[in-house]
Amino acid sequence: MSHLDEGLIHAALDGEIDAPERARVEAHLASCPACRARYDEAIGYRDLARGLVLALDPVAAPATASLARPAPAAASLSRPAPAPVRARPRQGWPLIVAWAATLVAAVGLGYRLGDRPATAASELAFDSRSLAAGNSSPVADEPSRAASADPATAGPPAEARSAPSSTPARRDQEAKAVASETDPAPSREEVAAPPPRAEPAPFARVAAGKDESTAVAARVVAENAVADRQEDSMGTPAAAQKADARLGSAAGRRNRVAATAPAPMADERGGESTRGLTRDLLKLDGPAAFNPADQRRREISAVAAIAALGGSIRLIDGLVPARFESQGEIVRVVYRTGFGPLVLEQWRAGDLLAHELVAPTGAPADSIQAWGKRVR
Amino acid sequence: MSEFVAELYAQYKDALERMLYRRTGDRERAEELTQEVFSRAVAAPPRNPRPWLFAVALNLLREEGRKATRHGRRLELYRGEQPTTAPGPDDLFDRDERVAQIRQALETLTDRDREALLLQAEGFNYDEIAQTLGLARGAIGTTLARARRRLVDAYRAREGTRHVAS
Repeated sequence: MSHLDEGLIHAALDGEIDAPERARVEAHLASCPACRARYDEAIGYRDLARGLVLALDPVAAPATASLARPAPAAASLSRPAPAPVRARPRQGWPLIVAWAATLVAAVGLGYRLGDRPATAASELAFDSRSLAAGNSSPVADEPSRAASADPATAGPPAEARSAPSSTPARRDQEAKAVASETDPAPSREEVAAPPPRAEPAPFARVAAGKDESTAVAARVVAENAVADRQEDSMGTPAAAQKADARLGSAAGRRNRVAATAPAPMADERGGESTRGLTRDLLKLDGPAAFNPADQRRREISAVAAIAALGGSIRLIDGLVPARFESQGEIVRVVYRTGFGPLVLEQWRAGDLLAHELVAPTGAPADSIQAWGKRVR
Repeated sequence: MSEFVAELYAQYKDALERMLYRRTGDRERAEELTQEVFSRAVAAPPRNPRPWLFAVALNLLREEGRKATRHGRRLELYRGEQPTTAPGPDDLFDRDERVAQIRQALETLTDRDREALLLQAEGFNYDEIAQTLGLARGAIGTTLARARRRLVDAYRAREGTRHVAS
């Protein structure tokens, strides 16, 4: 078989070839490094082009979301909040995808397909399934968004799912993604959450509770910690014991988050940009080996941030990152707000990304909650 | 408006506006053109609505572009429209400039390539793209491959220029 035609490669990527042809393409990719490199390069072009197109959409200001509903009282946290921003559920187009902005930044920040074609797929932060899932979110299996998606506006269905995998790592990643999609459990609560105790206002640490409250999200995380300890022996006894003590058994939960030792408190970690940010809450799932003394924060590119997180990243939908920072195993996406820096910290936790949103002092509770819900 | 067209309107209005906005950068025009598309649908209800609606929208755009050229009117294709919602304090990045660059990069593509890209971003599969643009299905992969490459390369070239200039 001669080398693959570029159009065929893109059709394969888009899931637009039939099974026999796919088999031929896969067989060829398995035996032809040149075409595999072109395939990876094509993934890069496809994803970047899509990111550029999506970046044309207007930005919905975060303030809109918080203005859309009254500031929730503490009691109201226990019930699902209305979906932020999406005032007209069927449309969704005022929602800019922040990850698209990052893709755009990635192009500008020196991502060069031609230089490293073989790494294109892994450097592009988003697995292709995410891009296939639609315009709004790299999280393909987010139930609320999927439920509200207009069929006319949804992205190409399963375009990447059927694409041949060019590398074992990629195959592995896709297999995991598929597994997570088919998991009936709410398996994407990759959150770092506060324990269920009162937060010292006005500071805030927000868990990605999606439609649940932060308290509920915290519960999920802690339960997951227990489940992980039981199932995978991933957690340290200390963390699991804390989770056990706080919440009791969580057998049967399949969610996975890191269950390692609690991260240090704010004061230990220090740093100018953390002044005014709350760090006095127990973190259930911080990287175990984190040591503030020998971890220096430094600014990195978007691409480096993605690479540091193993080929993925979480962003806040609708906000444009001001900068990316690396501090040990933690990647920090910093956003500017009128209240000060809003920081989305994230780190690799096994197969998943754990994250934690650290809001600036003085930010209204409803804004914080809205930001937290828009982490994608 | 017939019930059928009303349903189409509810189902496709936003997608059409979005695509037209991506193409023009002008929300008002996008809305006007969308209205025009549906007024035509009222006059001649389509059998296969989605490709039909988008094809009409793209034809209107092309028509408008040709008229503008004939009259020597300069379309404000690069005008970065402010979002209808008030910009938040965090919207401090040079987003407008980036959007203008993306739009310029998009303008370097041929109509066919650009439209294939926009339709694909709307979730059209190859059959639908082929049907909307009047192309052979077998040509869509090549069209998209070329469109993607050109868009990214054109954007990158502009981004590089901007960095050198600054």
